[in-house]
Amino acid sequence: MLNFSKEQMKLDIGDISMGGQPGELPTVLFGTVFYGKKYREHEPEAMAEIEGFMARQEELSQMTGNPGIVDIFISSEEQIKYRLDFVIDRIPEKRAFCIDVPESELRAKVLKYAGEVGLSSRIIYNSLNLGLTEVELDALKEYPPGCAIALGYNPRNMSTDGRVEILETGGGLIDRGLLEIAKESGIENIIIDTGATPFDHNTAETIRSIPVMKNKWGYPAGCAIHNTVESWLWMKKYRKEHRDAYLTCDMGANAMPVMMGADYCVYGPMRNADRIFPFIAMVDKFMAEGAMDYFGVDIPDDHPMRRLK
Amino acid sequence: MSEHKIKTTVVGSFPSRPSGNAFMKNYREGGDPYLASLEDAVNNQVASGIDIISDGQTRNDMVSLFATKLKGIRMKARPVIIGPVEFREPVALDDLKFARELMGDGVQLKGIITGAYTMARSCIDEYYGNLEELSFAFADALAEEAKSISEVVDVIQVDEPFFSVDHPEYSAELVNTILKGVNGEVGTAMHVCGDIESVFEKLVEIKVDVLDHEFAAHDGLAEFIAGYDFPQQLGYGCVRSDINEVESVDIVKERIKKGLDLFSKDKLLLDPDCGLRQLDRSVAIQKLRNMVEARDLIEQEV
Repeated sequence: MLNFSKEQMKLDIGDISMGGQPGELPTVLFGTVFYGKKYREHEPEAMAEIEGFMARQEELSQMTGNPGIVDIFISSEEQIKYRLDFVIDRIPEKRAFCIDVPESELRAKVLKYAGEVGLSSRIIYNSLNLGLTEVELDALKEYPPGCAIALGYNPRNMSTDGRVEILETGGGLIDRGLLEIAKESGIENIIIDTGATPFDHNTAETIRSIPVMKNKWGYPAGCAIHNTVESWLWMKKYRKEHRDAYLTCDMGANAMPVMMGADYCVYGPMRNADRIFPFIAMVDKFMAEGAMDYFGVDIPDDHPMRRLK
Repeated sequence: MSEHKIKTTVVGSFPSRPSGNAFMKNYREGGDPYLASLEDAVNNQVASGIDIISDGQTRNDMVSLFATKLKGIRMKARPVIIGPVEFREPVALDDLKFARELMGDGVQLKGIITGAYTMARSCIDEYYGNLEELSFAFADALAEEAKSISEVVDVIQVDEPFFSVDHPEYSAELVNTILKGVNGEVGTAMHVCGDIESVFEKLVEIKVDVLDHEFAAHDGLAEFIAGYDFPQQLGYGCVRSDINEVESVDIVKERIKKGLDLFSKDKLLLDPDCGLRQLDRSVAIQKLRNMVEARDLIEQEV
């Protein structure tokens, strides 16, 4: 169990808190919706399914104490209004939501829409990354989101140092570090994604970066380690006949970043919430006991350690 | 192969790299964002009229490119040696094969290997505790790389920028070790940038076909070298790679003419002073074009 000498920030984002020393606050869990062909056309049946996923994630969150965040995948301009409105109407009034948008210019459009309808402060922006364009920078300054994830993905150097570089200096790929860009844009809450990489691409550095970055900056940190499992070539074949084994790996991988101090996990499709919430609640219990017994960390009443006896 | 009496080449790197969005698309979807950069580097060198091109070394800087692929190295801001340095898998072979497919006939391909001493000096050694031992470990590992790429290239060049500032007694043996297993039909070259006047006497002892240096940035170097009798051909840097401004064809012509006054045309192989990585892409392309045009004009005049 770890404890950092650097003071660890605790961010209040909407009605949830994230960060602190390892084990201190429950791990925040981001489940993704709208990702995949099935949800592209917003057919009623598919939307009802998403509605069910969101309701179930919230139930599990209430049960375990692990905050659940809806990660909204958006891949075209036409989807912006529908998807944001759909989610906002179905989550608690003050709850933050995450926008997961691959294209830089589309991210700018999402910021603009969210700003115009008064949602900016509830946005967790996924993500500030090396694909940043001038259009996006302008939108970030005009409509700063309440919180932004800075992605430590550095294709030239996937070591921990390389991941730190992209956040601190830009690593020669962008003209300044993503953390500086976040501050310049007036973003008050910054969280770090160490940038999960596939196996054979310095994969373990994704996990190692978490304590390094938390100890360096004190920002909440985490990653989407399920992407490493998803891109595992051997598993792509094996899972066709052994789905349970795949789901076990997909879920179990999330224990590693949490045990190394991660404050949140982006766990993949929200349909997996039933597996991930009890699992991470268990990991959090181990972490919290370790933090309390050895380091004297105070554990809040709504933590899985206290709720799930 | 081209009909030109005076051939042109490049030292290695070309300033082409994937956009941030291309990197992020790759991050999400898989694939290799560098193939487009490699294609851009090859196409521009060929279109500029270069006789012996490279793969553009677009993937990484000259040290990280090899450090990330050899055994015994922990990647940090400066690589750390944590165990025996050994060859794991070919570093540039796939890129060179791809370049060969793209470039067509009439052009030759150069493979570039960062030299053992430069690799050793660029790392933090926490294992060998002895620079010479570490350097030879790199040389043995890089010899495997040279052997692997010798099937697809016409020339192999060893880059040893550190030799201009620090030239150990065993320098020739390091380069010879790297090139020892290379097929005899493949040409060999060594590039050392910087001011090499104080070490040139030692450089000529190295068994390579071409010694490549920066003549554009180092006024007086050509005259100095002309005082020596040496068997190698001379890679004659005639375009600045440290200034992000295009020199006119006339300026490049003057530099080449100066070389021709001092050396026979068979002795010279024209190229930029060093890799072009630090330049704007459009500047790099125009520098290559002007170098080829200057060579063509001189050949017509002769």
